Amino acid sequence: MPSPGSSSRHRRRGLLLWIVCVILSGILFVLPPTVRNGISSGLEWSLFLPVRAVLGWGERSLFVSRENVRLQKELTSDRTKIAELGEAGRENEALRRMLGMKARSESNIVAARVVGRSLDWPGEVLWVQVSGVARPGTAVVTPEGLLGRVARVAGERAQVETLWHSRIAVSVLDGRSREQGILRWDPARPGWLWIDSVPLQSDFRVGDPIVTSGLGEVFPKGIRVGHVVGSEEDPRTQLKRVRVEPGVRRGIASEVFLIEERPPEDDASDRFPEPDMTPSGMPPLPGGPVPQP
Amino acid sequence: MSVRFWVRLLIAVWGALIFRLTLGPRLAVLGVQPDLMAALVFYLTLARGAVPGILAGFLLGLLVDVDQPDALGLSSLAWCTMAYATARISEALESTDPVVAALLLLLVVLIGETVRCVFVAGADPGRMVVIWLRWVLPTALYTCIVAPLAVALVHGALGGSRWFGGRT
Repeated sequence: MPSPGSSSRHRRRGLLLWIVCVILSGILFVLPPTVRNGISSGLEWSLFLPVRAVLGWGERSLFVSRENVRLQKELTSDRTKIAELGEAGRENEALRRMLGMKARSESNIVAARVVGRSLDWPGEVLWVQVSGVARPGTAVVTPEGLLGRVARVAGERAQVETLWHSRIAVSVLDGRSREQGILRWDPARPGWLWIDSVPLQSDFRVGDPIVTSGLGEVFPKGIRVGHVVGSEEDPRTQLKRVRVEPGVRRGIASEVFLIEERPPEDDASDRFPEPDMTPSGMPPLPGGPVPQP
Repeated sequence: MSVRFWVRLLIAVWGALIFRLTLGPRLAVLGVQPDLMAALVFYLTLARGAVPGILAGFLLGLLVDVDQPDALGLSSLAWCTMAYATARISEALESTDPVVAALLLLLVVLIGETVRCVFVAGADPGRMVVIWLRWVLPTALYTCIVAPLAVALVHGALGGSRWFGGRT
């Protein structure tokens, strides 16, 4: 039986240690993001390395044949191309006056296998094994549509933040009306994805497809995200928020694909034509005489 | 503390981590899954007292947080607070009783998850209440159902002896 004095000493020691841990946690929490990333990587590859080795045990054992992967890859590639073509058709008229603009970049699809998954409530995170090189910020898709983006890369393993992560924001547009907005997931309203703060008169209708807009340069343009299932007025802001049902079902993807943007070929014919320069170095005046030196 | 204790601790951490990343998401109900890492901190604190529990809470929190550097320190804060609360509250209770232990687990997981909820919800009280009801309470309930079952399975497999020694 511990004496009252030793019990009190233990209690004090516990309180002191808790205060130290709270202060340390607070310091970690307010550090700049780059420092936090550095500490995180350092811990991951040192102190926690033996424990981290467990990643990829369970889900990797769910065998999927190579043929299935190949077919899914083709399907994803084709659907992405179809979505891009559809977008191109809709925008053709608007872009006609801009002929000569630099060519759009092309996409390269890399297969990846889900080896771990964390459904922690502030945000879903996946770990994927990539059969190639992955870069942070790369879009991650499945045949059903956009799934998320690569947050961090360690060797052939990449961490993916999915659409159900409070940090992810996707610039999207309505495939019918071309209305734009920012799509997010909110743990306080977890059933759907939301396009918040759009004007009341904006034209989002139930069933409209929602695709990535390409703004922000994180997600390539034209990737299917989901479709509109409703909207509601926000009484505080006098704006509207639109409910979107994602094409990807949460928590079931076992094979995913990374879409890497390839920069366009450097082709002089794709650029805006340079105006002819006069000998004085001045561009010619439209419809006017060519100035002489 | 013996070598056996440390080996068992490492095995328990591995087991909880594997569960968190593989089986846990498959048991998720409406996105809510049991948190065996938090339960591990709880049972370790019950068995070994405040100091090992708080240290384990801090380090296991860091282990979970390194995957999400934006929240580095948040789980550490939540779980070391949870361990401290466990140690203080269990002094006044008969925590060897499985029902009392399960109820205590519910209470301290609520405390730990509420700490996280406050930081995630920000300064919006309405949002905090919604997140608390939607995520924090179900997570704590689910954990206090699954974790005692897992503990009972382990104790059964060990022939009734305690995994961490001590009281639980």
